[in-house]
Amino acid sequence: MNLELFFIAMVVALLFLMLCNLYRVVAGPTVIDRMLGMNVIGIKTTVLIVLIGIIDGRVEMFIDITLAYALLNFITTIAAARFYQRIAQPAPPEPRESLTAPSAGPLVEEADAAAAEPDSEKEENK
Amino acid sequence: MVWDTSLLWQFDILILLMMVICAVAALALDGLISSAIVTGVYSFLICLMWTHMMAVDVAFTEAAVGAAISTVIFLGTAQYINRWIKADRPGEQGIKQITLVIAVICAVMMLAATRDLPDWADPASPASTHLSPGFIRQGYHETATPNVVTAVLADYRSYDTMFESVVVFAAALVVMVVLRHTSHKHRKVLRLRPKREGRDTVLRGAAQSIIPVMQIFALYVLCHGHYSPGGGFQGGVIFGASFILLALCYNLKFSMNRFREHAVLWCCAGGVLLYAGIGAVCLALGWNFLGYEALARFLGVTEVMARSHGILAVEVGVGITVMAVMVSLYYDLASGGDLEEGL
Repeated sequence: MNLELFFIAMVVALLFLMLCNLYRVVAGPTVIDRMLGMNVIGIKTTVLIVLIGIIDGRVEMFIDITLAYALLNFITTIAAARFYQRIAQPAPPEPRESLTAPSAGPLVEEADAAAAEPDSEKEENK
Repeated sequence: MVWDTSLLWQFDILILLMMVICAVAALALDGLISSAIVTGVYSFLICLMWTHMMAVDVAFTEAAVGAAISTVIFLGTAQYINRWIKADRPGEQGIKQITLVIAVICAVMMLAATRDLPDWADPASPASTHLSPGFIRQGYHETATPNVVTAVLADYRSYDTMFESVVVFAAALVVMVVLRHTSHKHRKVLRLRPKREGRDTVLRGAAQSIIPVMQIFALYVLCHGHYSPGGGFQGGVIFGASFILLALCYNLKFSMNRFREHAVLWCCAGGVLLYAGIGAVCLALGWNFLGYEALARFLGVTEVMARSHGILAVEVGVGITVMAVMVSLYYDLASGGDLEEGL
């Protein structure tokens, strides 16, 4: 009986800690905070399910659920990390048809244009 | 075990409080990703609630779907969605207030009706006086399946389960049709999506070591559904999640080389076909549709064991369909329908 009381106290304590994480999830200024809060809540859920199983005396029925959580819990986190990795990366520049190999040297027209530009600017200044 | 409703009442109050907070926050937060994450937290909480109510099979399904699939699909979809808020036109404010009044009235009526609901696990409630005692007493003797939920799901109510898997199959088809045959005028265009840089050594190493474990665990869940919580739906979701993890840790092309789109479609349809085919075989042998006793002659076992084996075969069909549908949904939604690159 005392041991059961101990487990119930543990469950309630974990739930209060979960409430603290929930504050971070709801109020968290950035999405990364929310993700971390969700991850911690998931870990606490895993422990709580085992504790409920112990209190009910049927822990072998609950072990499969906790194993599923333990195996699958991080997939969401990886997906969110990939999402931000993709959003944050700058888009590559548009490929241009006229680009030549780096070893080929400047194109004739480009070289002419570069040579002509200072002259045209001077003319405009005049 | 004698059920004691006073056990862990603190648990109920705290969980319900957190669920209400999550439900309000999911609506109030701006930003689709934040809402998706809060929904994920809600999924954890409802799983705890169901565990506490000893609805272990339901809790298992929620664990597999909530932890692995739903938030990933939300994230994959959110890449292509623009979100905007429409300003109120004059006159709309009044309609919103009327809606609020109607919602409050409905809530009060529903709360008043909850007083008539029976308590949890009330032995005198209608649900536990009519059908349940029969299933609990005869289920094991008629189907040789200790888990009565599996027996009800795949034997006594096997028509329901068959059409559930048809619904899952239809969901994959609809997503495919909608995403591949509509113009992309309204969606956020992600042309020239950047390639991933870096080698992802940690992720890939972890994926290599955990994916085989995940797949073996999925097969265990599928086959052990007779004796413990689990079955076709849960096993299929976990198996599908292993391919999604592969696509997340490497890239979509890598996953699609392992499990090609053609094979995915064959599996989607094949699982449902296996389920219906078993029913048709039973029908052809002169029994009811999905009357597994018909298989006793083929398998050389008693009729009771034939029902047990029939349940397993049907669960395999459900598992194949669910696995393929989850993979197909991820392939389509995360790549916007063009199957070029996912999340």
